[in-house]
Parts: sequence; C-alpha cells; structure tokens
Amino acid sequence: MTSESERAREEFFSEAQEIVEGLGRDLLALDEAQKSGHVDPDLINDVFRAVHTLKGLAGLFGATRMSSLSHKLEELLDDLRLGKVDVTAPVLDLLFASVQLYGKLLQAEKESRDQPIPELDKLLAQLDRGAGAGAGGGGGGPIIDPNLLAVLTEFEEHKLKTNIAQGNTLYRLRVRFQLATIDQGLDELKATAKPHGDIITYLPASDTDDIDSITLEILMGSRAPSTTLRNALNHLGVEVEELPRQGGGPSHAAMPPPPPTSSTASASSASTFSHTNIPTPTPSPPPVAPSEPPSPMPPMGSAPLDMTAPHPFPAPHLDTSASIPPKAQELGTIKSVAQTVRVDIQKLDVLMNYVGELSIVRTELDRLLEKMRDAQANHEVKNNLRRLQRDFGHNVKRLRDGILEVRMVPLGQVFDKLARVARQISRQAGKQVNLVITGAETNVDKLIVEELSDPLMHMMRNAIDHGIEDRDAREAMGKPAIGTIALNAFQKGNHVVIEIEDDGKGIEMERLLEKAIRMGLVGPEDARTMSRREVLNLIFVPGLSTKTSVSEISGRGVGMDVVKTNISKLGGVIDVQSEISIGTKFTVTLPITLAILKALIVKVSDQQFAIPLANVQEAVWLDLSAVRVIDGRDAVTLRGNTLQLCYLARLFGLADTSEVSGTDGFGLDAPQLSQIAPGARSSLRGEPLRQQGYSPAFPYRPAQTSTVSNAMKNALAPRSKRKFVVVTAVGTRRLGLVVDSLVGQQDVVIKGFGPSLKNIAGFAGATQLADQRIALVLDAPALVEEMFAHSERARMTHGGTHGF
Amino acid sequence: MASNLARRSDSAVVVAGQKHKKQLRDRGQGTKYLAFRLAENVYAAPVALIREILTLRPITPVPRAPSSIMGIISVRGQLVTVLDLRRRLRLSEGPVTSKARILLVDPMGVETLGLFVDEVLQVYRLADSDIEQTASALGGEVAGYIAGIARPAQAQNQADAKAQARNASGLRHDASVIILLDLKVVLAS
Repeated sequence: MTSESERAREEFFSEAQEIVEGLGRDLLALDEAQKSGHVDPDLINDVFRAVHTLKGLAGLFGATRMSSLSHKLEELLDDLRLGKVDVTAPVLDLLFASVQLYGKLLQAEKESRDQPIPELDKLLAQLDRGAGAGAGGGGGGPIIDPNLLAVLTEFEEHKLKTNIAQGNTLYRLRVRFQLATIDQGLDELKATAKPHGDIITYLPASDTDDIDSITLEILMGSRAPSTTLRNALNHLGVEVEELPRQGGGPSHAAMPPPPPTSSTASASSASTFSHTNIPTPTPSPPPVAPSEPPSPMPPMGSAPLDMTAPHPFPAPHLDTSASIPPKAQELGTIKSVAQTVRVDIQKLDVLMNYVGELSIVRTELDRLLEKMRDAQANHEVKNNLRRLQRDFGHNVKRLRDGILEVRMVPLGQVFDKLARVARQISRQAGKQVNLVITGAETNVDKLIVEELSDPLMHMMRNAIDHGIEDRDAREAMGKPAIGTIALNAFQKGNHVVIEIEDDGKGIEMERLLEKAIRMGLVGPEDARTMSRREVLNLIFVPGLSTKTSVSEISGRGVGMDVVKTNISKLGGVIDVQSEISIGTKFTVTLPITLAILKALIVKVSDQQFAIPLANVQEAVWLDLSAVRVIDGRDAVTLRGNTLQLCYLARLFGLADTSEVSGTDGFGLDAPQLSQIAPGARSSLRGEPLRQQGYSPAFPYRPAQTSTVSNAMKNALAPRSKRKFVVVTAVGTRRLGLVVDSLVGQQDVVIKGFGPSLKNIAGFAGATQLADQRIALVLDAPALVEEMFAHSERARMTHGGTHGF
Repeated sequence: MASNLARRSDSAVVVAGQKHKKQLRDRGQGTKYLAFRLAENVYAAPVALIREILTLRPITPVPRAPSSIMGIISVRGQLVTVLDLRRRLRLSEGPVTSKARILLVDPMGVETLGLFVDEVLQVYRLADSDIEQTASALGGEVAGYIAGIARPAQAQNQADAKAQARNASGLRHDASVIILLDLKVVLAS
C-alpha cells in the first residue's frame, strides 16, 4: 500500500516537473513573442492549460501551496487570455518567478518540508494586485457586429480584438466538410492556415442543407494579402473572402510597422531575451517597439476599439526585482526533483524486442545442448553453437545499448532551465543578454544532466556577471549593446562537449597571475615559464577570483574550483579559453554515460584495479634510476616536467609481490602499450620506451634511498621487474601511479559501494571483470587531490580568501 | 533460499523430537534462530533477519577499509560488503575451511551486508522462556552485542546425529549454550 502511494507520489513529481519545465519553455517563447510584438494567443492558452493541469495535480496530492499558487496564476492567465491584461515584461516577471517557485514548492513537497516560503506569500500578494488592477483593462466594449459578438466566446472575442488591434485583415473562409472526416479536415485546415494567421472562430453556416456534410464559416485574422491566403488554402476547397473595412482603405494601410529586427532575430531557433526597462543612464530606445495600435483603426463597428486602456499593471510592478528582496530571489538549484526518467515507449519497444530475440537464442541453446548428447551431431552442433553465440553476443550488446539509451535525456531539459536562470540573472545584473542555444537535442545520461545542472548554472552566472560588460562599456568599445552568450552542445565520439561562450571582456591574465603569485599559489619563477593555458587554468584553483568585489549574484561561496571538482567527478574535463575584450569560452567535455566507462586495468601485487581512461594521460615504464626525492616525495622527470609518484602498493598497504607475479606487462613493447592506453602520447608509439620514458636528468644517488619505501627497495633488487607509471591528470595536476603491470583496456560497468564503504577514500566503486573477478575502480581525481592536499594546504595558509 | 531455511527449520524441529514439538505448540510460536559457529562458540541470529546463505567465494579486499571488513563480493551483480564477524566480535581467527559461509543480512534496511561465519549449524526454534537475559551480567565489550543466552540442550540431546557427527569430527561446538546476537548492535558498532 505504502509503496503504491509512494509510486503515485513519484509519478506526481515527475509529471509536475515535466509540466513546470514545459511551462518554463512556453514562458521563454512568450517572452520572445512579447518583444517581437506579436503574442500568439495559443501560447497564452498553453500556459493557462499547463497551470490549470498543475492545479488539478496539486489538489489531488494535497500540495496545498502549489494549488493556491496555481489558482492565483490561473486567474492572471485567464485575464491575459481574455486580453484584460496585456503581456508585458513585469507580467512575465511574475510568471517567471512563479515557475521558479514551483520548483521550490516541489522540492519542499518532496522533502515533506512545511516551513514557510516567504516568496510565495509575496508572489501571491502580487498576483492579487495584478489581477485586481487588470479588471479595468479591456473595459471599453468592442463595437463589432453584435450578432457575431453574441456567438463568440470571451476568448475568441479577445482574439478578434487583438487581430484588429494589430491591423490584421479579417477574412471569412467558407469550407464544406464531410461529417465523417471533419476532424481530419479541420486539423489539416488549421495546420495549413496557422502560418498565415490566427483562426478566431468556427461557425456552422446557416445554409447547410446536406445531411452528410457541413459548411463552416471560419473567421480568421491575417497579415497576408488575400491572394496568398487563397493560394495556400485553395487545395482544401476553401473560399476566401476579405471582410471589408470601414473607410474602404487598402487593408495593409492599417498595418503597424513591422517588428524591429534586432540582432536577436538571426537566432531564430534560439531563445532570446532582452529587457526594455533596465535603468541605464543612457536614454536608449527600447529594443522592442510596443505594439501600439495604429491610430486610424476603424474596425467593423462605428467606434474604435478601446485598445489604449490604462496599463493594467501599475508602476510599482515595473521593477519586480526590487520589490522582492535579493535574498528571496536566490536562484536555488535547477536540478529536477523527479528521480524517474520518463521514457519514450519506442525505446522500450526496441529493448523488448531484443529481450525477445535473446529468449529465442536461449531456447535454441537449450535445444542444442539436448542435441549434444548425440555424439553424431557434433560437427553440426558446433557450428550452430558458434552461430548462436554470435547472435547472443549481438543481442546482449544491443540490449545494453538500448538500456543505456533509455537513461539518456536531451540536454535541452537543462538548457531550458538555464535560459530562465539567464533571463533572471541578466535582469538582476542590469545587463542585456542574448542567449543562443544550439545542440539542445544532444543526449546525455540523466545522472550526468542532473549533476551538471549546478556547475552549468554557475558558469552561466559568471558569464553574465563577470563576462558581459555594462551596456555603456560595450558601446564604448564598439560592441553590440546586447551581449551574447552561446550555449552549445554536441557529441564528439564517446563524449559530449558543452560550451558556454560569452562575448564579454575576457579574463585578465596578468591580474590572475599577479593574484596567484600574491597568494603564494605560483612561485615567481614558475610564473615566467607558465603557458597561456596554464595561467588561465588558475581560475580553477580554490580561492582565486578576478572580480575584486564579490557580487551579490556570484558571492555564494563556490567558485570555479567547485565546478571543476564536480565535473571531474563525472569523469569530465573543463577547459577555458579567453581573449581580452573578445570573450571567454568554457568547454566541458563529458563521457556520454556514467554507466559504462573505458578503464585501464592494472595489477598491483596481484590485485586488479581499474583506472578510468578519462583520467589517464599515458602509461610509461618506470625508470627507477630516474627517481628522485623532492620534498620527501618520490618524483621523476617526464619530458621536462616533474611528476610526483604514488606507489599504489604502499598507499593501499599491499604486499609487493612484483617479484613473483606473472610476466604480464613485461614483454609489452611500445606499440602494444599505446594500444592498451590510447591516451599515451603518440610520440611513444613505435619507439623504444627505454629512450622515451623517463630521461635520467638527475642521476640516481644512493644517498637518497633512505627515504625510499620498502616497495622501492624491493623494486630495486636486482631480480625485480620494471614497474609502470600510469600518469593521471586532474586539471593542471598530474600524478604518476606506480603499478606492477598493465593488464589491458576494458569497458567496465561501475558500481558504487554500499554505505559501509562510503568513507573509504580513493575508490569510485568496483566493477566485475570479464573473468568474474572484482576490480576496484580508482577515484583518480580524489587520489590526486589527496596526494596534493598536504602541500597545498601548507601553501594556502599564506593567504587565501574565498569568494567567487 | 528462504524456503531452504524453512525446510531446515522443519527438520530441526523434527529432530528435536515429538515431545518438544508438542511442547512448542503448547507454548506458542517461539522464534527461529540460525545457529552458526564463530571461532569456538555457537552464536545465533533470528532467521527472519537472514536473507540468504552463500557458500564461500573469492572476496576482493578493499584497501583502507576497517580491518573488520573483509572485502566485497558480487551477488548477482550487486556489490556486497563482507564483514568478518570474528574480528567484529574480537574473537580469535582460525583457518578458513570449506564450511565457511557468508550470511546476507540487512538488519537496518539500508544495506545488505555479508557476515562471514566459520560454519552454519542449524535452525533452532526458541521461545522467549528458553532465553536467559544474561547480557548485563556478562560485562565487557561483548555485552552490548548479546541479546541473550539460550540452552536448548535438553531438546538437542535427544538425537541430533548431524551435530554429533560434527562434534566427532573434532570441531568442538557445544550447542548447550547458544549466544544470541543482536545484529543491529553488532553492525552499528
């Protein structure tokens, strides 16, 4: 019983989440439409319906706060729908704030928290005021043919008025439908007519005399001339008649000026936003012209429609961000509440299909096994078995891929939320930003999407807050006044790349380096030899920020170091490129799925370990004579750079059995090695490792062996075999893991430890290898962190402020 | 596996003799306990808490884990942490024999754990009246783990051929005293 209601609750969350997400998308579209001056009434209707559904759902599950918010919103949306209230930026702010609140309410509901949410009461109060003020909105009664008005619903009447207000020509379409196929016919007509205009209403014509068919009169508003419309609808047998206007002027004379084509217009598929009411000292024309009705507007009646009614939202609403204190406006998280994945039924069908195939193979196997008893059939049986084995293998692989596919969700889910967040941040920061999204359809593991949402949000916030300059500054530099942020995603082999790029001021490398030196993170000598990339990568170091004052938006105690850590945890890497006054681009590269990853299997004293290949840079032989001791740590020089070593056997307290362990790895030559570890630099291929490996830049000195471990001493024994160094890299830090042998590369399915082993550092989990043995999967970033933690803590104490 | 356990318990009741069975019926249900050997003592835990008894399989050690964690095994694709009950209870450790088993338990309902035991003996049905609440009298570290002491000796003495055979084989276990473990306390520590 409880599990059933649990399941129902889970369903509720995932459904509500889905609706809220859809709502957010609709609002973004509405926001864009409002700016372009033409709001599609259907869009408002969609938003209304979504809120209505949410109200019903919330009521069903006793989520009272959600249902009261929905109720109030519904009232506002109804007014919008009926044209009693105009779609304006402040109204949209209220709606966006509501969507964000829905997220919070869902979270609270999920955690069964009852604590008050102050923003909710504020918002409800605002909605109240809004609705009250809106009552006087479209008060001036429309003067249209009373007979027509009598049959129009309030919504249709509003649509009619809107069309008139926009100076659209009204058309009367007549079309005859067979009763049997009227549904399809209507759908087709709607689809065909939609691009040309707005269908206001359908009315059955009074002269219908046929029993099997019906003639409909359709009232439609359109900007297109009648010939275009006629051509488009001709094949459906539609008669098009233009309704005459009073005054007899040509229809297009009354048209409003075309919506201004701003720079945003090019990004048609992208969601764009900008704001009209940003308090900037420069009196700049708002980027969007309000859709004022053209003055000579004689519609069907005698008196003009009163479309210039007082603004339904009084002045106090114009600045929503000020009326809600900044604290309350905290963005929270954009992770979704729902744990479930809603799956396309087709994907499941495919999986089910493979399961069916597998069952057939199994039956066949049973039959063959039965046959095996008959020794005569041996040859045939063998062949059949081989064939079956192949089929089996294929199906298992497809099944595996199919299940992985089910875990995948389009990045668009998180991008939509990012777009909302961006709209809000840019409003708070008083900057105009145009967001261009590409690759929203790229699929990524659901788990990765969830884990990624917060880092992405942080980067988005940085891009707006630190990257994009003020309008004045941009104009002074000759840049477009509206900043652009590009959010791109694309697949690249087994990886997904996500880019966040802004055309802002860029990262000042000198200041970054200066600060790093001041904080003791970089020695003055090192600073001279650092490459551009290394300097830029400093922003991932804890405590570094180029922004001198911690802003309200960014000052949340997390920085790019946290972003980096979180992305590393997902097996991903982050890179940054920046040019002064041109912009900054963050590139996040992630594995497509967490479930299966490629790993390098290594052996340390007879125990096998898996190291995710994402963390492996290369694997080389360890030249023991090149090992030096620096600062009490073993290190070697690899191609001119110092590489700290970490003896896994020592770290894990495993006996060094290299002398008795098998010969694996010993006979590997360089080509084989690079095959095992494809991350290995190409320079390794085909060349003797002995020369390419560690160059003994520092001759081995016996005096230093005193600090060398037992493992090392054993390794130094004459009979000992060579060991290998697996170079792992996390950001700019590299660590050489010393292992006994390399076993090979394998796809592994990683499984997390239970709570009893949660606190064991250095392992990401375990995996079952092909031979059924279990190998522990190393958490390379954690190991690197651990090995560097000590020295860095010591350095950080010289001065480190947190912020950014 | 649950059905296996049930079968075992039935046989245990049968060997306990008709008289005992009748006694049980008179006294009411009683609780089933699975008895197992750790080092040289007989311990028992409620059957209801034990999900499965696994034969020994390779246990992958986990470096840096507490010493009482032997490592992990894979049970139908799920990773299970195996605890060495002997170490957890600070008993002496002997060689691992083929009789060793891993009991799967989930007393808290948060994680299935494997408990390594030297040998699984049998199921006893014990009524509350069979159990002495002597834990507090024992003192020492083990006191907290012990839910009680049972002496099903009379019932056992009737004819437990298997147990006698075991005794004869030199593995001394005196089923006259069974230490009932409070798994929740054992595993929480």
